[in-house]
Amino acid sequence: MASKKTRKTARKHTVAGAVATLKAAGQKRVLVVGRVRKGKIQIDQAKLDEFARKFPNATGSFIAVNAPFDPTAHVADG
Amino acid sequence: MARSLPWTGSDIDTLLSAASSPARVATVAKVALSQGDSRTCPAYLRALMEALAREPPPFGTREYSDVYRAAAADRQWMAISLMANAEREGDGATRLWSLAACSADPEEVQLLKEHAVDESRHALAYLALLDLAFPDSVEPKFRAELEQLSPRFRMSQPLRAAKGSPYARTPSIDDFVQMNIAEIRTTIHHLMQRVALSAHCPPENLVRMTKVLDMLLRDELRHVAYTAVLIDRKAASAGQEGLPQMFCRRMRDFNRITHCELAKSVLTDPQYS
Repeated sequence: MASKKTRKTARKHTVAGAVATLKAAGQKRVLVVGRVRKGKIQIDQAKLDEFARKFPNATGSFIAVNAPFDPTAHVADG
Repeated sequence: MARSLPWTGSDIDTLLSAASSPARVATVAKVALSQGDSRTCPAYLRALMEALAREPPPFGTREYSDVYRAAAADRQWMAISLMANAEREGDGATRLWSLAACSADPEEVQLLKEHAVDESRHALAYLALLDLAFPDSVEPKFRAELEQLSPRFRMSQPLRAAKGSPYARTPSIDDFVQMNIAEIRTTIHHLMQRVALSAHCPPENLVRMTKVLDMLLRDELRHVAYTAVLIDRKAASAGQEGLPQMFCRRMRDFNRITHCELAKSVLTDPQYS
């Protein structure tokens, strides 16, 4: 049978392990909340503001463009 | 025109290992044109090379990759970026659909329609990447709404220009130059996403994610190739001696757009601010 000291140490390790797991889960957890209106995504503005302090705009940079990017002034053929 | 066979693993390695520089931008174009029945497109390549030399694009630089890598390491930023890409792909599909509807050239109609269908599928592909890399990361109601981002075009559907769209007009060589430059940047984004997503994706989803990424890369390269062929052909038939100038102007325009998108990053260039 384990001594009181051994049980205490084991419990301490278990708690430390659980905290570490929770911490890691917290770091890894992603939950995106938003909505789509008229074909455009709307993400929680507070989250975007938080990104803006650290990173480029998450919805306006590093995005795909596949059609002509200038819809107005195009040069005709010939 | 451009081949329908998949590009090989060595093509992908070539693209991934190309150093961040204007040369990487050129490598994307060359790999896209390197196979199948795509022609060599000498006028196109000459114009592209001149534009890269005179207007070096920020998206070919190491700094651009570094800014992306730093942001993409944040799981939530990466997840939102995938959604934003889905939105833009769906939006682009609708623009291309209008252009296809207004072209008088049957081959152009077919190519633009295929392109629109591809981009429509890409909107869903980005959502698939979101699900695979970040399972259960989006609030369920929002995730269901995201499905609206793809117009879900099919080749069997009749073309119709969107009412009031600025893209409801006959496509010109200038449009294809813009599309080609934009598709090259999208391919470079794809290469950066490939690396970033593999770090986030749960191991059990990696194989499926790679299949989606391969499909996206194959399509993007095909779009670079077909627009290059059309540019080359149109330049030859119309005697477009001004093609290098047009390429330079549009590269400059797109560089300005890229800088504006990254206004708050380290990529500030007084030329564009």
